[in-house]
Amino acid sequence: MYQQQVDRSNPGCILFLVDHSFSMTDSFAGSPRSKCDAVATAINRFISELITMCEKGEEKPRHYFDVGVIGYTTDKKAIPIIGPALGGALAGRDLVSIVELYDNPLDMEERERDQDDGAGGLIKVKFTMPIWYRKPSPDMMAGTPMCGVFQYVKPILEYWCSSHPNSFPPIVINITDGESTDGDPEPAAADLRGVSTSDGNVLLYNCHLSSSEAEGVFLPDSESQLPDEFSRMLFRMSSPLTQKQRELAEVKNLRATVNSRGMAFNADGTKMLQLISVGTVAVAIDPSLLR
Amino acid sequence: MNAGSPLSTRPGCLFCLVQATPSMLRACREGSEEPRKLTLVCRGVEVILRQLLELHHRGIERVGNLSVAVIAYCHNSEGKLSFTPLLRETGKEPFLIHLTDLISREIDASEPKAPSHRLDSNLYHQLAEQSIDQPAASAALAYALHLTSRWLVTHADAWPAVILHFSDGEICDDHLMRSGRSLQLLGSASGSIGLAHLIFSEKVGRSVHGQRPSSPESCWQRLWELSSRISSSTSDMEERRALWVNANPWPVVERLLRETACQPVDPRDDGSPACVWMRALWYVKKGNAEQEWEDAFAFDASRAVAAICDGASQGIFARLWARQLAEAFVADQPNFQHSADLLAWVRGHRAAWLREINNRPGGLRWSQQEKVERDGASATLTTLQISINPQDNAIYWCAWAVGDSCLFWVRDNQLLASFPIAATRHFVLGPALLRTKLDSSPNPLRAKGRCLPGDLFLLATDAVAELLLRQVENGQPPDWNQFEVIEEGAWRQQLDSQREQRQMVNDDCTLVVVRVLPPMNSTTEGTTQPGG
Repeated sequence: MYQQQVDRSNPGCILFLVDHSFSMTDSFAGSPRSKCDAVATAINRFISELITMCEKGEEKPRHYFDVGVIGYTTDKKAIPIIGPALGGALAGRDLVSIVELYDNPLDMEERERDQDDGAGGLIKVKFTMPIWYRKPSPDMMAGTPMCGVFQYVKPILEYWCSSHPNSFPPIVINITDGESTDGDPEPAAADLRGVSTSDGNVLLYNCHLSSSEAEGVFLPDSESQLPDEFSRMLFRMSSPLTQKQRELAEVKNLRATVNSRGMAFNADGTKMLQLISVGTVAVAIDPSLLR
Repeated sequence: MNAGSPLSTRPGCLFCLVQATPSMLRACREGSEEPRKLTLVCRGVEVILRQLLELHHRGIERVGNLSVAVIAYCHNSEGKLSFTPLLRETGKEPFLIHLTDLISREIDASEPKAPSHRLDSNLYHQLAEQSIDQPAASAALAYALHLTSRWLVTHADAWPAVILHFSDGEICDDHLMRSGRSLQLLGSASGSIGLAHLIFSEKVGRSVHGQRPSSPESCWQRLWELSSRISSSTSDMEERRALWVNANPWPVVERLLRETACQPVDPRDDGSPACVWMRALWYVKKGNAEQEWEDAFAFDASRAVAAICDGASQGIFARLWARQLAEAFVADQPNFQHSADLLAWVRGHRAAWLREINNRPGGLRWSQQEKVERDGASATLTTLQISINPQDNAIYWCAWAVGDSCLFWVRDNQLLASFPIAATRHFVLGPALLRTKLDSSPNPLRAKGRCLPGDLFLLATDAVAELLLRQVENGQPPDWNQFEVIEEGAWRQQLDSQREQRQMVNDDCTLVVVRVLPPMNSTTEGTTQPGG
């Protein structure tokens, strides 16, 4: 299980579920950036790196992955608003291929980064940052229908698995900052994890973002490490790490045991990136992708 | 003298592999009060450590920058092969502890203790008691090759490694001979590896100090042939090798340390190319188009040189990089004798690669540009050169390896040795690679041997190499001679079948076949690589 190499005949599937509740507009403790800004940057950067990883020096990057971003919130009357969140030509699509992502960025933003000038100093270097996903406007952000989003993506992944029966199973990364507002999500999460290919069941990882300075818990290996019932529920909803993921965690000096699950509780932006990194390397051909 | 400062910057390593099976719990003479074999091994190791520290104190250069590992090997109660470091406070693989660390720990202690304090004899005892009696010596020597190779990759201009194999001398099967030969091929900048077999056995009452064992210990004759040549301490002309039975091991260790440093491995004698016949077979990874094959080979039978490369799949323009390296090796026949030689050679070809991929402003797409800057391309390189030495008219081969592409040496349709990997369990993720990105290179591994007309060599990238080695390990070795004649289509069908049965990983495959001919009879046949 969880051994299948990713190639064009057996591509991987990575699906982000992004909480669009209003509290995502709050900032992380000690940071001026809002949580939804940080999530957007992380997802765009991730897609850009995934495309780069699929580059072989040919006309286009190779179709090694299908990727999706699903947003979930409610309107002011608590009616769920759940659906694909990629923009531009890809709007309305639940899953798109790497090649489609490459061909259809929403925008190409010019940004600057510091680079070693070779003489002990730093120089600002311009680079192009493709954008595929933008945070929603605050007036479109309200509740957290977590049960609803798990139910929404289940048939999408069932269909994907039936079309890719021998692929590494889909990886779902749920990024949220609060408790479900549409009931107990555990049964729906269990249903989702029940979807499988011949190489294993869907892997569901949960990242809980925090505005408080409370200490975070990362890749816990038992419920007893967690402070309250909500966090323990997130633990139960999260899949264990595969062996390859544990090995990567070790390389990055992150503690992970055979019982560790793919979850972060009270995470800041850094821990969110680490969870995405550890979580997706299970299918990444090149572990250096997420250095 | 400050014991904490290294006497020599040239690094060295010494591995003690000790057998941990129930047999080692028995005394050297059945029913006697004599110490158990395992106790004698511990005493032997303690003597070696003490003497090494003594040499270090005396400022002997050979041990000035020496690291030591003591590793017990066995099949544990679950039948799994296990390697356990026996020196306390040993870190991760390759389990080496620097002599100065052993010394500084002694000095730091409130009461200086003997170095034997570092050897966990209780753990050794426990491992022997809990293990099952199943041969593991071949795996132990293959493991020694693996550890030594990995150490040499990161230690430039090292002293030759010394491997001490402590055992009951009961095993000398073909697998052990193959692993031992493979180990002995490995050289460093300053000489060939030193390999000693140190046997504790109830089968003989007397000691053996390097003489060729006579019957009835015929098994030991094979082990003797596997052991490094050493000088004789007596005036007789009898050949001595590093095989010691029921004897204090220090004299052989001392001689190996001294004498292995005096046999520089010249990667290519100033001889003329040998007469060889060569061909190549290749097959793309299933699911990929032929032009996506990322291995490469090049050979020139008239100059008896061949090279293969495996472009790493995570790179960009890896196929081009692999081809450039293979072709450049055959064209240049560079000598990597000194640590800077390989880096200088690779640097020249990096520039050519960048030119070829059109790395200029606007020349690449954004995601290509990012990948070129971040990862670039990388590839393994394994080579073979065969020449006739003008002094003795003998035929010698030499090989370089960076990474896990392998060389197989076959005589009479039987595998003599492989380089640089001797067991399938040592094909690991993340082999050493020649990169376009980093401005440094791993040290190349080197091997050399004397061959005969009729010998067959095969260069194989990892997927094929692993398959061939697994077939040997399973006792169903391939018909090596078939690779000389098999039609490429038939060979590809064999690989398809192995892939379908999941007997091999789905990866690009390349095999270069080299037959050594009697002098003055050179012919060539080759398939053309795509685009080449």
